[in-house]
Amino acid sequence: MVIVAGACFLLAALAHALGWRVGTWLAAAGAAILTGALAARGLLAGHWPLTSEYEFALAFALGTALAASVFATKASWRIPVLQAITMLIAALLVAYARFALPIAKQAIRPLPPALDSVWLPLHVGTAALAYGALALAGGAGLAWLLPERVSGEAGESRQVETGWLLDRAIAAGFPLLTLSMIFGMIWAQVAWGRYWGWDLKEVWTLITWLVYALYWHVRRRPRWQGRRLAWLALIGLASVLFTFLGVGWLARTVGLESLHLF
Amino acid sequence: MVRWGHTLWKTLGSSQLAVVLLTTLLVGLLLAGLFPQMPTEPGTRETWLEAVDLRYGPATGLLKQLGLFEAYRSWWFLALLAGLLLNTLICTVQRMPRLWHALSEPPIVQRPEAFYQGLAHQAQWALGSPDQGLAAARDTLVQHRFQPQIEKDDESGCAFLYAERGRWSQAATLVSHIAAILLVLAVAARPALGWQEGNLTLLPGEVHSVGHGSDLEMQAGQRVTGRRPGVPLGVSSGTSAITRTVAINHPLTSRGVTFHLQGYGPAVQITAPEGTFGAALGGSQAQEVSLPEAGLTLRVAHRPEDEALFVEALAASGALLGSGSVAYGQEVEIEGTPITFRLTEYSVWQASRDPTFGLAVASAALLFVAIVISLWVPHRRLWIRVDDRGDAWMVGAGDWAGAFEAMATEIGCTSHLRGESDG
Repeated sequence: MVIVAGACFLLAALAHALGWRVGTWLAAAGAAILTGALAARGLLAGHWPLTSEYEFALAFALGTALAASVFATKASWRIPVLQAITMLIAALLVAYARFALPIAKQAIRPLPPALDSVWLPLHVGTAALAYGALALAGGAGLAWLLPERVSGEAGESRQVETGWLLDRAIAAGFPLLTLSMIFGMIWAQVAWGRYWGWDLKEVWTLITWLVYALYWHVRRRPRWQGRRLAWLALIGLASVLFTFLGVGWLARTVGLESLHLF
Repeated sequence: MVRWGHTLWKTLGSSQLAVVLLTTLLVGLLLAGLFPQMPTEPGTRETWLEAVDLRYGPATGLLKQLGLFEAYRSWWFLALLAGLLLNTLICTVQRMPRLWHALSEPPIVQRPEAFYQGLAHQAQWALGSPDQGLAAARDTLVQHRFQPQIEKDDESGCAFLYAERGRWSQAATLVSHIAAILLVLAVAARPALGWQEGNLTLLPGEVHSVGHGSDLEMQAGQRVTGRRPGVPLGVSSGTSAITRTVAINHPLTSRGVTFHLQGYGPAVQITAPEGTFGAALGGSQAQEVSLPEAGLTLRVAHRPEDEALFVEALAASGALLGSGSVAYGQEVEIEGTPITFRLTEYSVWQASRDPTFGLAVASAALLFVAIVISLWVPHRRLWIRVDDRGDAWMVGAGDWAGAFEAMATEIGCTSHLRGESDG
């Protein structure tokens, strides 16, 4: 099911790139299949399917597809190049989960006591939704920066619409990220007796939050309109991806510790 | 001097400085995230520093001087945070009067003709019937959650409409600044107002005084299994006592002190005529237990291969008296002292008190609400002026973000629009 969902996302990306409207349906089908796959996994495991890198990668992909679908409900918001980029991100996340992670990491595991908490779905679920919206914003940043000959669309009006979508995606993702961090701090207090401990994952989440706080400060400044905001959205996406994928690698490479590495 | 002070005051509260400080803080965090951070628990620092010395070799001294092993307590990091805090505070103070004025003063509905030339969003059209046209515009604006007001100037024969929405959202940025200041203050005050003591190893029945100005005593029980394994913990103070099974993620709080279960493992309970002693058997290294009255020191280690205890008995001088495996529950006599070894479990606890947590969560929640409002409830203002010939001008101010043209078209404007791209 996961591979089928990933294939739907990839085909949706292709269809959008070619300007075929079937891309929207393929994306919706992929999101529905992935939701079913995660729900079935949760039922089999007996806990929320948000406890491992594999499960979070799938939830992140679902969040990205959902964000793209929500923003495609209105005709004027359907920007093919942006939808193609966003669905490609979702497909790559599924591919990472399914093909890059070792089989042992993909297996259903019993819930570790550390994750047996009501805060798990709140903290991790909102993070997946936030990351999805921010991936869409990053995709919008990339779409904004693409030259016309690559995007195949008229310049100025596309950039105005893409810029507006970028702003709305961050307007959704940034508060969700903040909410996820608040849930996380309450959970950390309950689990470890401290709501902030400068853990590597916490630091990188703060870095990501600060990038979007910076966006929040400059989004209405004339000097920052256009290219700079697009770059900021891309830097934000890079930070999101590093917080998810890079922290474990950094911890292993530099020899650091983190309570968030499961 | 006054001008210089004014410039400094403006600069310290400027959003340009905020952008510079936020960017610098980002770079600082990126740098700090590359290096291991020194543990705060006393007694672990020496070992940690030895390990760091081995890893970074000759660069260790320089990295230490730059504060990179204690980055979040270093002078440069604290200075950055203080700078950001000061900038936010001054910015808040600077904006307060203007915001108060914007929120409390009644809006000016009748504006002179020149006013309509100065704003970024402009539209112009001709109304057949000024009264009907303005009434229709008012109805449209009400549908869009604006609060319109209409006034007429009998002298000039002009009619005016003023409409506004999201008036209170102007306060969101200010509220977010106050929330951020409170959040940082809560985090900063935590070490001074609260305390945390971890790695408290207790054997079943063992009593530990919590200390830190509290008269609480804690006593752990035997681990219980089941869906949620945990350890019963009794916390008492004078005549009052509370007992509950504490599990990971499910702490116990009594009189502001929270008790977290950090872990558990095998332990040995040693019963001798002079008393009962205990030792954790978690690691591969032998643990030492002294029996002062008997003049003995026992080195004990669990042998998982035959589920027995390996015991070495040493005299007070350190001389080895004998060694061998002992079955759990068996009584042995060492140098005339009868000793029984029982397998049990130890539990590891953390006791902490954090009075800043409530403030931190409340200010973070306030920050969240302010972010949502500032991003989703735009403050928009709109003025319409219709002269006695029926010519209408409409101008908008605030966060329109591309919506002015659509609004003008819906109201009935047919010509001369400008200022859409500048948001």
